Amino acid sequence: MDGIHDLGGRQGFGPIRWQADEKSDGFHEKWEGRAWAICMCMLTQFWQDQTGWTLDWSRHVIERIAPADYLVMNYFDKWTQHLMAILIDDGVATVQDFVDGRSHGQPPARPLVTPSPVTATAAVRPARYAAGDRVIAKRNIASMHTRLPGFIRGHKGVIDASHGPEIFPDASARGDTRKEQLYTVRFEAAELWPEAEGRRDGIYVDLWESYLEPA
Amino acid sequence: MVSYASDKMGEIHRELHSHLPPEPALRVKALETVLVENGLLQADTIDKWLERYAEKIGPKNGAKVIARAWRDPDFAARLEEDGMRAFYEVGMIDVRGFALKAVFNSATTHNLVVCTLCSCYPQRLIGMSPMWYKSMEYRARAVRDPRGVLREFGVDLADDIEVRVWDSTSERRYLVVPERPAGTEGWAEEALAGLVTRNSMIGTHRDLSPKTELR
Repeated sequence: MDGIHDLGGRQGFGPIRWQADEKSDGFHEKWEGRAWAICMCMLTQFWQDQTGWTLDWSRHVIERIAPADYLVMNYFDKWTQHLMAILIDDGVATVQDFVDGRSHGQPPARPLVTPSPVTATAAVRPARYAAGDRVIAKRNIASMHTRLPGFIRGHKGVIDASHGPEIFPDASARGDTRKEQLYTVRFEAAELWPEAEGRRDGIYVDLWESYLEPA
Repeated sequence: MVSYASDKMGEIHRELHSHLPPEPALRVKALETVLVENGLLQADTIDKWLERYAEKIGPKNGAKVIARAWRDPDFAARLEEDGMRAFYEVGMIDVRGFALKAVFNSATTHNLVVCTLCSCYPQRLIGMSPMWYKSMEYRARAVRDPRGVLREFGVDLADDIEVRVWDSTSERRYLVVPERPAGTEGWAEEALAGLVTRNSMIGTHRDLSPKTELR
């Protein structure tokens, strides 16, 4: 889906407030480090084979934060809310549990065993492109979750490197961990942005084979 | 059991956002309490994780790799070939699950890393990213106005220097290797590592000369 999270190239944003970060280890408040630790522990303890919580499902759950909230919420607050949402969806906690800050004992604690429809064994098609090939990023993609950013869609690029098969995010967000060929593609800034005319600058984006068409 | 139902997640987010306590620290506390009470998390897991993270992970790991690459051309070649292996060589062990691409600055090239779709960053190697890296402003602007962004960080690039922006859309991670500053001939690895800043590994700090203010 074309969500609010797809920010590359959007205009109207102000300056980057970076000075405040200089002495920080990345966590400005104690609760931020704690929120991060909880998410990392849960997402690594209960890995996808056990729960179906793939990295891309987790990403998509963050993407589904209401657009207006997405733009203003604290980063670690988003992670907190996303883990709550995953647990509620899974049936191991309820909205009321988190509102009250305690478990109401239902549903009962149980191991999160979920046989997910994993098709990781499916054969991967050989790479269709090689370094130097010209490609076009697809204009539309019907996936629930995708890693094809909006700002390159419909634009021409050149394959910079071919990386072999990697888990395909659009399928992985639905629990299907099949792999697909991954490439780094270079797009000329001048091709993407009218104000970059005459520049030699380039933008490199990692893209899976289904995102591309030959140019 | 996980639903992979996008709209359901949007609904859960709206419900959570309107009912949760307004104080983020309380929300994190609620999350941890419910997880512990439901038997999904042991009471001391988070403290242990945070302790280990603070001890082992941080920008110093990246600084060490970069300083070694400045002194040892063979090591630099290995870093360019396989970034993960270079981190492994300096003693990082838990580096599975993703590839690391080291991109080298030169007199004619400047590299900048962003994640326009979320917040991907080599955090398992060099720690939590700064807040500005995850900000809406940086994610929107880095691919479109990298020179303007860099100016805000005090990096004023000549027109003939090519900017390469790396958008971390896959599980590959990017690390900028800044140029070794002049006047550091004969310096030991540790002293050199002291010049490498977190921002320089993302690309928003270019000149690491000992004279310039540390960023």
